Amino acid sequence: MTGPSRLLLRSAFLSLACGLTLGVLFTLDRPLGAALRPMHVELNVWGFVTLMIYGVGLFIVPRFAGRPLRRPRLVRAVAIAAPAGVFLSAAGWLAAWQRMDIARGALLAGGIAQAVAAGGFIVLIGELLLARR
Amino acid sequence: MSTATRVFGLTALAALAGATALHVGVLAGEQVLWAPMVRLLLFGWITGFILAVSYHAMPAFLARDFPWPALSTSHAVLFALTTAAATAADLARPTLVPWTTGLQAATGALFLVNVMSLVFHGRRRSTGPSVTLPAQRQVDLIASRATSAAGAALPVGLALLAAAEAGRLAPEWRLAAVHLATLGWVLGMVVGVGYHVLPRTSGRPIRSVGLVRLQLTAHALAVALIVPALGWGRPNVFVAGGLLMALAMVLFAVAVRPSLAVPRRPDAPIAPGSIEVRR
Repeated sequence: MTGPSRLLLRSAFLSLACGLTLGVLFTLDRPLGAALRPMHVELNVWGFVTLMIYGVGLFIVPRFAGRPLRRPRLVRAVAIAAPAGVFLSAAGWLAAWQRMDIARGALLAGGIAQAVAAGGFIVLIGELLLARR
Repeated sequence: MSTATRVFGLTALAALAGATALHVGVLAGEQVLWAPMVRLLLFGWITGFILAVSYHAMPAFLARDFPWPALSTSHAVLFALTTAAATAADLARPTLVPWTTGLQAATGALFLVNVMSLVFHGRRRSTGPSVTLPAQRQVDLIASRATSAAGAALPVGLALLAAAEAGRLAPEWRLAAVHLATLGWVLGMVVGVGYHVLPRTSGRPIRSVGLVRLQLTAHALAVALIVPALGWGRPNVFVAGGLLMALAMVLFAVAVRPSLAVPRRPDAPIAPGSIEVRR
């Protein structure tokens, strides 16, 4: 498995660890769950599941298609921007719950980073799916 | 790569673009976009990609071909259409949402139909799946049962969601349905496919077959506790289910951890045969 894919998978499991911890806290404090639901979704769905798909997809889809990925720098950019965006956004939700001023900036920065990563993934995998047989 | 795989994959990428745009809107403060974002994220992007990988990999792992490829292609096309319809309803015609969710549930059932057709009527391939890792065949068998159960969670979760949105069930069942789809379908497939794929891509085996059985049992029990607990408002049962799900995910991480290490052998070549590329 390639370096970027391993980085994405490890980030996915780190996100899962944070999301699980949050989930366990929710079981003990239901009002906390209602307040931090967006952070829960960020870490578990945009974090664990999406990062896992990016990591496995960037490795496995080229092998399904029988063609390599064409843009190695874009692959590395996705591997860095996606986890950075998830953790920034998660921190932003936490800051918003605490009514901190940096919340909005963190949320937007995280969203932009994730959007860049998503765009990169779409280009990389879309090229393979649309390539002629 | 089959037509079905391509269509699922491209629909998933389009859904990723849409969900990302909605996500940025939510992060910018537009909370009204929350529900459409969650739906497109779960039932468009994630489900689409899972189906794309499954339709390509299942014939390889089962060493059989789909008996009726047109059925797979039909599922892919219907998936694209119902995902688009559900997104449009979410954003522009909320009164239609229960209907579009119901259509997504019916489309989701086609996955089970196709899997059953593959298992019971699929044409056997002359060569089986490449398995050189110790105990991987047993892991494949257990993981296939898990992904079959996960496949049932998708239409059931969507049907529950449609019923809750139509007012046939209490509003609490909306959250229960989303958790069935997330923990049952999505997480079930992530775990099942992970057990198939991660050892093959790294060249390192899963830690132990017993650990896989324990993890999947914990996962299934957790879902069986969490979903009704959310729907019927049983906080103590929800706590038990939540803790069990946390345990199941820890066990999954422990089981696949060797696969995340630096590979023992060079990456499999990008050519047919590294992971059974057919067509």
